[in-house]
Amino acid sequence: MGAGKSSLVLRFVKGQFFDYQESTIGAAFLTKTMPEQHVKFEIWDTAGQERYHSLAPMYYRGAAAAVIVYDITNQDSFTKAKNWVKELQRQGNPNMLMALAGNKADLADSRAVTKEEASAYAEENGLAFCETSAKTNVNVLEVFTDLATRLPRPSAPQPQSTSGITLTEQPPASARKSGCCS
Amino acid sequence: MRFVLPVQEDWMGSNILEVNRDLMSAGRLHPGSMQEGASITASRPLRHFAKCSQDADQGTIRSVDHIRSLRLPFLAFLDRLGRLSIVKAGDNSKLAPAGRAVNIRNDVRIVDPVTQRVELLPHLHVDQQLSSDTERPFKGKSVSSTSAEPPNAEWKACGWTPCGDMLLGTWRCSEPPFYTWGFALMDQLSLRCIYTDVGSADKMTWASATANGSQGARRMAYFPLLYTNLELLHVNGKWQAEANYLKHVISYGELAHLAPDGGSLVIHAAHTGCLSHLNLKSDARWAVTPSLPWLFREELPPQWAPFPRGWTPAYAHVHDFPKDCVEVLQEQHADLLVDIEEAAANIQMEKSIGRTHIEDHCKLVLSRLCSGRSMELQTCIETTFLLPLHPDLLSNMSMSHATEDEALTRLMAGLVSGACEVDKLSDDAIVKMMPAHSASHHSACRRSGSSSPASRSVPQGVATLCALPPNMRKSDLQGAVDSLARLDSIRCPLEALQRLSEAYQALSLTVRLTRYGHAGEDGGSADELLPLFIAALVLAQPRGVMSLLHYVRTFHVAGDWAGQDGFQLATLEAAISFLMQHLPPELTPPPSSYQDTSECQSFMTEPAPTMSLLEALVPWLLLCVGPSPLWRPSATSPWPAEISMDVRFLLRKMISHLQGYHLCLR
Repeated sequence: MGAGKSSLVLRFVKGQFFDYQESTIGAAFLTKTMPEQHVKFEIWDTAGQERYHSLAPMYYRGAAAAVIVYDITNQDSFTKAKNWVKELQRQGNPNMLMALAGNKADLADSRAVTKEEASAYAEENGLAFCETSAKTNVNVLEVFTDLATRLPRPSAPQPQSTSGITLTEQPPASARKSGCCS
Repeated sequence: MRFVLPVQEDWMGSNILEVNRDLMSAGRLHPGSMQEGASITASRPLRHFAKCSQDADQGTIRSVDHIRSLRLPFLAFLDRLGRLSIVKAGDNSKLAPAGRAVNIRNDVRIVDPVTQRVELLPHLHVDQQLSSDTERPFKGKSVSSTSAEPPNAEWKACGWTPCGDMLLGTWRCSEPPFYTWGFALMDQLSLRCIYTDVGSADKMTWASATANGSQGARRMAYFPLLYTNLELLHVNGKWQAEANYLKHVISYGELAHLAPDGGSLVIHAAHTGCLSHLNLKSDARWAVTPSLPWLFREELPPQWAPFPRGWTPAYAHVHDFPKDCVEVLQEQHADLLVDIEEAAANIQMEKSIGRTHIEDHCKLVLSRLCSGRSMELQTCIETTFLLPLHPDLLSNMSMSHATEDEALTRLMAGLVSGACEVDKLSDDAIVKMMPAHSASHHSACRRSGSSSPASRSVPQGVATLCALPPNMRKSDLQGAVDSLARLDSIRCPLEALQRLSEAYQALSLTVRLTRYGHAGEDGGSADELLPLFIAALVLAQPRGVMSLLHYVRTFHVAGDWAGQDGFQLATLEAAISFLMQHLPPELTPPPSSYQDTSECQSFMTEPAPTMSLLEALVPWLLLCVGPSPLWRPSATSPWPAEISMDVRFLLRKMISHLQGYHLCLR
């Protein structure tokens, strides 16, 4: 059972508040423009299977931001998310913004990872954090809006900037910490 | 003391024949003219000659400013002792852009492209008077360089070898990377300098490759057959011959014999029917039999057709462009045809001189021509512009990645045929890895007792390798497979991207149909698309897919790859990487001799390093310019002992590429 990263991004891109989505190649590559923030997200989905883990650098290389998604009902997924954070901190773009998303918040009754534990970890590693539910559309927009707000802007005003984002199940340390839904 | 200095405007000499013949017929160039005070009045065919002051004893040029003022790319001259000196002068000519015209690496400070500062090449001394032996003036005479590189090594003369009515002189360094220089003299009356290009950074490993037999390395030998260079390529354990005639690659000849120990080589020259013999074992001690006669233009075989059209390449004319592209261009931007024609001609001029940085030139031109255009127009521009270069460029990439390409081809063929087995995964393991909806579907199949669908579409070995979810194994991948198979016939990098896009769209549709039974909007996540893409790639079995990947990346900077094209290319790269990780031991390429560091390895394998790769080498640069600089004060100074041979090689290659980027380290 996955953490729901593809569902999360599909919820974000297909949401009702923005009409700028471009249908591309399924949920593997999606774009979403946020006019207020003058940001266009290009979201690259990475295969979550362990078998393809070693291929992830080819996707997050050069990304401006990463959303690391874990399943709050699965302690193992949180552990894997932390491993992803380490990897991105070690090998990713040093200026990459990272957000930790505890997905499936609608299944809080089956929670295996407490919000406090995840929040503390995010705090410790300088990650933005919030619990989300792609199913009930809770905090999904907030995760990306927070990233869009924190992305560095070009000095000269431009109508739109393009920011690549990689969807993984974890992020890096040098990014500014922010609590997107706290 | 003044000497007459023959100067070639185009190093490979578009006018050299006329010049020499004119001189000969006019009787103005003879042994006596190589004396103090001799001069030649520059006139039309003689405009390529210039006079220059020289100190005969030291062999150095005093009047650098004068050379610079000539704005000619090269000066080559002999002093009365027969010493050969070559100077690459500051140049604004499009024929030979400064720093690019000739890749003379070894201890040559190439002209600073910004300041046009003139640098001297090492002087190669011929220790005999030019006229001491009228038949073979340089045969057997020792030749040495005043600026050996690296310092612990010595330049050794390999002698002058008669070849037709020319002489081929070679030198090599006793330490790797082995440099070999070759200069050909037509006769004692006129100096011909045919640059061998052997010192170019990407072709340094011949001697070592010969010694250790590593695959993929290449080295070249040159025949002074007019302007033809014959490259001997050591690819996948086999020697191949490729000749560059003028600006065209021609199928020159085939290897008639290669000694079991790799030490000798016999080439059957297709055009002349002659046999040539090279002794490869003795590290550049050449034994070239005089089999290829010097030919004048009128004597060229008719099959070398491009020559009569002059130096403007035939394919740079509009009527040679691909018709489908011309139609699009004429319909949308007819003026682009003129631009492309001109740009192609200019590129070809440069290609005739040195092709090491031809990719950089092409990228610049394409960037200018394609900016702001639609994808269709960009593809037409790129196809048209690269048409004459595409085979050569892709061939270069193929040579660099021949080993990986061969291994991948064999792996894919083995997987499809079932002959190749990789690590096995149980269905249960696959179910654990795949997305929830796929797992459910698989469980449902099992519950219903339906047989495994794997064998109906995707071969078991492929499905297992990719951990393809069982419900996807019966998917129709034919659309994607067809698109990927067409990668073999692309005409430009953008066309490769189109094929990738088609494949991805087809796979996305496949996922939708498999999952929902209709072509809805949601096309599946990377969890499904990546395994399917790998499976489709294996089934398509495109040749040279590693070369193709580098070919596409070479023509586009990293910034181009932020969008969907970038994602699809990253997926191709991921698929290739995945397959490389699963190569059986017998297909795994042998390690490179320069594999100490990942940077070094990347640098060795990158035909045209990206800026990101150069950035990765910053630590090395810092070592060179840091508080305790390891950099040599001059090109001829000794390397510090702490710099290992591999690092020296790395630095040298890096500098070569930096020169290509018009950066100046000093």
